[in-house]
Amino acid sequence: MPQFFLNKRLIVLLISVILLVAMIGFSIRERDRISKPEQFVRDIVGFGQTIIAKPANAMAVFFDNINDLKNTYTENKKLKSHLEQLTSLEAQNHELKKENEELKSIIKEKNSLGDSESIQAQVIARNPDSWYEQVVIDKGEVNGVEKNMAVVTSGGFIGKVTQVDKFYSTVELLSSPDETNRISAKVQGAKKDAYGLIEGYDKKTKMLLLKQLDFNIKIKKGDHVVTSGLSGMFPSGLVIGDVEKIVPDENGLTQTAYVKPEANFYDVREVLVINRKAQKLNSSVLGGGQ
Amino acid sequence: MKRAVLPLILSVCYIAESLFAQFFSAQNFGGKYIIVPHFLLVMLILMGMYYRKRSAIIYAFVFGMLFDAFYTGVLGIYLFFYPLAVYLTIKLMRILQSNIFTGTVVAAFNMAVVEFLVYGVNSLINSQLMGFSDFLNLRLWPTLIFNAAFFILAWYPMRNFLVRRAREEEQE
Repeated sequence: MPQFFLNKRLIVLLISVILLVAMIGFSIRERDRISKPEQFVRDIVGFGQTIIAKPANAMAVFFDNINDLKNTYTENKKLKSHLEQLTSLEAQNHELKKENEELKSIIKEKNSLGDSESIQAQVIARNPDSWYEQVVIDKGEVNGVEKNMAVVTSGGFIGKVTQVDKFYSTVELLSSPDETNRISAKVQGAKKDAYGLIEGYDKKTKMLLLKQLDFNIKIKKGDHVVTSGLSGMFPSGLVIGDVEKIVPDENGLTQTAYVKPEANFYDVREVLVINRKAQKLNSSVLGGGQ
Repeated sequence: MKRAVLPLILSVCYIAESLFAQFFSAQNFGGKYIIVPHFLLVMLILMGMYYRKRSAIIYAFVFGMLFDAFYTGVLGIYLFFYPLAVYLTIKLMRILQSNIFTGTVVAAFNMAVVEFLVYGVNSLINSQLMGFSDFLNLRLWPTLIFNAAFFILAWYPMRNFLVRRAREEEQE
């Protein structure tokens, strides 16, 4: 027995294993904010990262622009045909907005679930060990970013903020294989909206799974899926994607929709962090669900 | 000035990994293969082969910690597995002749060890991670081939540089 403890290497190994388990346990537990030393390290690394990532981003945008130039003609044609519908749509929009405001003033409601303000941010890093799909953006606590805020690109919803530092924050994408990564969403139907939860991402088909939809509501292929605003943190009406196919669940009470995401999770550069104006749930109430 | 060159190289590799992930992500490799860049680990393994052993392990420790804190957010994984890989490299190179062939094999072996361990720990934390056969076929092989290629490219200039640095530091 004494010899066992004299073996220096073995002791180092044992201590490392214990430390490893302790540190992992410390960092994956539910935390409202990360510890000060971690924040400090992340802010310093983030600074170095920004210096290189910003010019790289600019280069990428430049090459994208060149690519875009090639498609300008066909795109222009398509856009022109859309443009004709736009004026009537605008007029309609104006009318509806006015009506909405009048109705709101009648019921004395200031902020609806859809009201929000946004913070523009640039992606400076992506987790290279792609186990979890995470990106780091260059806006943090000082810019008003908070944990669990929704993040969108010009395409649509891509994920939520999971860690906030002083100047940077981490966003977990919807495509990340994380059980706790749930988003309350609805399918916009002709008559009735169907409410469900986005739970998980199918890597093979590159589609999101929208689960726990009411079986009695008919859902068509091509129906739009947006956030419902019921989760307590996101505003309603953020575009997620379109329904691709519907599968009934085993129990016969619910159905699952495969949703083709509108945003491209692999080409994320410019994002908006969305802050909802309506009252938010306290994060301690949300607890383990987040 | 010369002292700063090595940390600078490692920092550039560290940042290059995330840039690689951002601009050449999964959809660029036939849509299903996942290639994980391990530039930093390749450099650390090279340091284990040709640089002072103790400082190689310390560098691995520090950069593993930075990797955990900034990229993955789960402290402790790379913090321990990077030094472990360097340690294994040092042990293996004691019994092997150091040339580019054995070097590449040892580097690939150590990267496989790190990938396996990280997969193991992550699948303990999260049961929804990819299955074992998917991990082998879609992730491990492409990753090893890609990084072995990078190792071969980096081997000659880095060996010269590290051997020279080690000798200079001894004289100081």
